[in-house]
Amino acid sequence: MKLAIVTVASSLSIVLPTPWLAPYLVIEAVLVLGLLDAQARRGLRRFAVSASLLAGFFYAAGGPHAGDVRIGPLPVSGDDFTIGLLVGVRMAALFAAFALGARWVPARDLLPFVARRGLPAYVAGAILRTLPTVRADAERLRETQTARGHRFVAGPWGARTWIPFVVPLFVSVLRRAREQSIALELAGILPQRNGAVSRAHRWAVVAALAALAVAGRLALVAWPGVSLSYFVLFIAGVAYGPIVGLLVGLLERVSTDVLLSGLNPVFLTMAPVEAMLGLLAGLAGRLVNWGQRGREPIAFASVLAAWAGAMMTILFSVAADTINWLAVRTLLPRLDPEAAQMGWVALVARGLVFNVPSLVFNAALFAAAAYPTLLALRRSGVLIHRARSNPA
Amino acid sequence: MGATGSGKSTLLRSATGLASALPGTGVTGSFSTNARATGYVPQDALDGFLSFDAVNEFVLRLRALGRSLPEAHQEAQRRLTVIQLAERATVPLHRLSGGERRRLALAAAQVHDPDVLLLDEPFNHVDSAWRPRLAIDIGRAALRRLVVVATHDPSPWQEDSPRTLLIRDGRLHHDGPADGFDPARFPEIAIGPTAPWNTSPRAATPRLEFQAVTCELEGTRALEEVTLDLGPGLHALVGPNGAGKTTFLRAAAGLIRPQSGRIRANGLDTRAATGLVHHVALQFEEPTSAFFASTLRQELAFAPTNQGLPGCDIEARLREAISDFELDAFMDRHPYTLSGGQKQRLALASVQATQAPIILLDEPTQGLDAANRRLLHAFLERQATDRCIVAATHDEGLIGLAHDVTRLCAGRIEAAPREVTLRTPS
Repeated sequence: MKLAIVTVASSLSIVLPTPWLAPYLVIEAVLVLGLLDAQARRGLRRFAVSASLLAGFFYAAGGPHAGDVRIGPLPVSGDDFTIGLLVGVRMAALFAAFALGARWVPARDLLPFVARRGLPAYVAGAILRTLPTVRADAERLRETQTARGHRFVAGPWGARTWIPFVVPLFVSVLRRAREQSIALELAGILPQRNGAVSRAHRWAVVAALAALAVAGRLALVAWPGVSLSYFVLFIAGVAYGPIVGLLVGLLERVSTDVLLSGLNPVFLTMAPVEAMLGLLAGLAGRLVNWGQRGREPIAFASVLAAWAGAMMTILFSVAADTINWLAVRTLLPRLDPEAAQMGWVALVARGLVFNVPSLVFNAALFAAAAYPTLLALRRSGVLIHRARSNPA
Repeated sequence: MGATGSGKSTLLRSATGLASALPGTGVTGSFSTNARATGYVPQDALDGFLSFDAVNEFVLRLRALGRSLPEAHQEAQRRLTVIQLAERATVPLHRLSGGERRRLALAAAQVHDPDVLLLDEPFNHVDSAWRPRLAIDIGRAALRRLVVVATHDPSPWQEDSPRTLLIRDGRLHHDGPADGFDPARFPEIAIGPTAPWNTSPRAATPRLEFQAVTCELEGTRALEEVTLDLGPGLHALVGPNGAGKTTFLRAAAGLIRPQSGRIRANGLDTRAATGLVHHVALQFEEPTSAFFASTLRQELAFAPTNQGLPGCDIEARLREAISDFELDAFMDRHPYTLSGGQKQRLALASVQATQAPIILLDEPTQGLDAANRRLLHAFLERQATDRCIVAATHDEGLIGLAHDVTRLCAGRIEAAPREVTLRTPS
């Protein structure tokens, strides 16, 4: 029931015609604010303001009626700014639905339904089970570093202070996945095939990385377009190969969207895009053989990582807007005629501009943390390629 | 049995038959067993859990055996009642106390009725009330299955155990009947009586003061109206599992903000968290999940760097900590590649490197063999003269050394600390 309400709320945020949007947002806001704690309310307010302004500005910049006003080098028009603000309001309504999902559909409630035997049930439930473990590991690491005098600064401006935390979190979560794979096989949940490499280990790693990516997206959900999940996908692909990267991307997107927006098919279309990013990261990792030797100059590795972060953001933006463009043209021409008339190039260009903050964030994060994370994984022993098990 | 780092945990992991298929284990050779199923409880109980709370841990395992959801829930409740965790069924696993996690891990590993049960330090973090009970449970289990226990303390098993193995430097050094086995012949496991100290606190400071402190965690009152004033010396903090010992230490380190009351560490209110690293150092209960650096050197240097020390001072502190805990041979290794006892030494050395006047230790003797316990005792003896050391522990040897003992029960202080007394050699 709760899942259905969240699905309807998120769907309405997308398909409601513009005149109905504002009253709907008011009703939704009243409902959601009543359920949220102070911290979530602050996140919602921050998202609503920043999304509306960002969308307003970037939809206005370079639009078809541009030229009335100039903001710096960009020509903007009042009409386009209004359209942009409305897009921002729609995003705020969507975020309110997400907040409802996060408040109403905790992982704990979903778990019994997926606690069945076999691989599909394990994969479905693993991320839900792993999320609290990731949270516990993150909490412990944060406490340990705080106790030893490290100061964390909240928000994107304090991102640098979180770098010493990101690297060991990966190592810790993947170490635990390795240990848990023994328990998985012993409990008969993922039995080992005789003579095969550990299937449980492979799936435990996928679940752990997907849970990390989910946590990375949820942690910054109040900042439009900014997410830690690209970074997790990159590490998953480079460290464990293209198939693991693909699976992590797919599972992360599906899990986060189910948690946030219920069973909304619109969001599930983004899952293949993230899967593609994980796959490409894996292929790129094979080409560069990154972090395997540990001899690359740090400056070169940082530049390469920053480039990878920027490319992943651009690829996601282009692919996601292409899917949006196809969906709007074929499915929703009556509901959003202005969007339906917009050309592919215009939509993609505006999407790219909208993702500039995300691009900058990712480039900086990748430059600072990607190479140290890969090296730390290798040094800790959790990344050594698996030996063949001994036939009994 | 065997010294820290002798290979006990590696042997148990290998006996699961699965370790060779995992990265980083370095296990080679062949292994065979006719066991239908195996149960394994690792040294860090959290590593063996598959879910996020106690009830789901059982439900998941029972569902894997083909039980229906209602049946699985009913059975899970029954099992939780047996291990007295029914009221903690939905508490996140990382919020359970160390002893509660250990009880749960032992019960969960037996859900699928294994033929072989492998237990790595099963008494770690378990309080004195539960130890005999767990020993009986494990003894019962051994009546119908093969049970292998890796331990530093053979005493609970000696009467019932048919066989004792001793590993030294990764090789089987002794294999014989438990009856007649004399631990005193093997220095690495001969713990022996703890030598009393000949020191007493000399200074008036530092002080750790709790004034009517109440802390709540996840809706549960973990500390209630705790008032305590501790000065220099070794203070043992004792009490059953779940009494609030770890919460006490985390609150003293400024990691938990009390709902009411005030905590002052060396005169500084712990709510003003900046600069606390100069005054308080905390060693966490499970060392593995508290490491974050890529080498031991970086791990040890983290706090002194945050204290703003110049490079030469940091080096001097590292040298002292390395020497005190005999870590010279491992300095460029990743902390995860150490054995349980070596990790514990690293955690203690990290505390030492801060040179904070208030030292908070959570189960500091866990995983330490006899030689390393002596190392720890010597360190504490040196530090206790002018530092305030609070050790949450179930180890009677360490409690015997303490200048005073504070007992916590259900978040309240049950017995006020004894007066600090000068101890003399017996």
